[in-house]
Amino acid sequence: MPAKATKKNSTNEFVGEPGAIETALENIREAIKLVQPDSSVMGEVGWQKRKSAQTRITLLTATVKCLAKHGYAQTTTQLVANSANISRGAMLHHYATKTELITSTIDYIMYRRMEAYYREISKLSDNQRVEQGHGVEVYWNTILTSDYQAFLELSVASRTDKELRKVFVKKARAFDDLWLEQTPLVFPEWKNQPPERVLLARDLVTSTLEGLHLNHRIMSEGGGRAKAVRAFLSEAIKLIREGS
Amino acid sequence: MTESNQLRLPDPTRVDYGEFNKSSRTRRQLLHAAMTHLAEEGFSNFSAGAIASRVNFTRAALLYHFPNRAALIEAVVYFVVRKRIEIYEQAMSSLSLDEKFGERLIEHAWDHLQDDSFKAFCELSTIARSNQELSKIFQPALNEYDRMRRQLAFTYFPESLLADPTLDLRRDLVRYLLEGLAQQRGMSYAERERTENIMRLIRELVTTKEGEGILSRAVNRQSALEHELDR
Repeated sequence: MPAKATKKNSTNEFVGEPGAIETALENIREAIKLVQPDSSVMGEVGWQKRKSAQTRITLLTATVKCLAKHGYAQTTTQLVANSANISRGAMLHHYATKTELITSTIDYIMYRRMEAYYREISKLSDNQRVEQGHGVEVYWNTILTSDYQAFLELSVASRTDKELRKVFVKKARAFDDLWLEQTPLVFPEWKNQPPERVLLARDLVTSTLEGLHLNHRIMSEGGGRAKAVRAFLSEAIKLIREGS
Repeated sequence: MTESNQLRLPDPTRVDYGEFNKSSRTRRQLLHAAMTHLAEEGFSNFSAGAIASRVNFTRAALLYHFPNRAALIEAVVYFVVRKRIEIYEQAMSSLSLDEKFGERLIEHAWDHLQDDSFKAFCELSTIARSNQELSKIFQPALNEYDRMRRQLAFTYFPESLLADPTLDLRRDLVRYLLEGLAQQRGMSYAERERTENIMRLIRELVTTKEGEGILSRAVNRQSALEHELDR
């Protein structure tokens, strides 16, 4: 995993330096590249190889859309191929089974969500990020995307589908690790915090927002209540960071 | 307008005129099986045959009570929401109004989320987002669940809490945090420890002075924002 370059011991070198977020984003983009399965199929060279990688991205993007729109059960390789406008043959060449397709999609979604999140965080000023806790709003916005919807479909399906569960849980954990590693790059104010505290702040924010999303539509009328919950989270993470 | 303390959702186990009393029990049994099936096997495997065989009924017997899949789905949505309210009310009515009220309420709320009714609820909530037909039944039921939970708080919470401007925030916070946590169970490493830490945190946040401080700051921040928007 490319993220190794910044692993534990060497993390400090990057912290707080200008360009730290770019480093994190770069790490994630590298990771996204790894998601695409090895394209060293015999006979493929040059542009063809590039085209092949492009096709996979097209297929993965189409899978995300299908998952968000039709749910896990309805998302067949046939449906994905149709909506990506790619022949069944080409589809099978890249992903022979639904399991293969879904396995790649899990990585793809996880890294894409992470990349989108960090990209938006990098646009915040220090004051917005550290003092006002705007990271909470940024995370909330990533939850309202079809990427999250697709992720949720996979997460819910993996509760009852044993084969999917094995893959999903393994990847979700690896992703959690990567997240913890990258956090100090993106949120330098957390760099000297013990990992339990970083995890606690993260768990508080993600669990609450995901729970909010589970009940989201009822909140559309009482939008103020949902906003108060998010304002609270922004205050609470500051408190966790200050160590009380 | 006075808010009704009655749940405004049809009772899918109710016996219609002319039926035998036994039917109500049968319907309850079938819907319980449907709920468990939803929790264990998911919406995609939600079939009359599979559900009936869980409780040793024939598919035909099930279809006598719920003539088609749509009728069965509607009934199970009502059943699940009613069950959640039932559990919640039962827990609340057993709590004594002392200084431990908040803490114990959190514990009860967490236990309640381990029930099949919550797993079935998660399944329905997620599927409803990509399924129009389900959404039409699920959304109103969810609104009613929310309204009823608020009513129950007014019936059972101690006066001091009810007068607090942060009441809704406390309720929402505990509810969403716990539901988010319960939904992700089994997905992360060191889960027990992390869950314990976060449960400790939420207890402190809603029951201590320091917590009260940020609760009211958040409410103020929110109303200040709304003021700004009004202008």
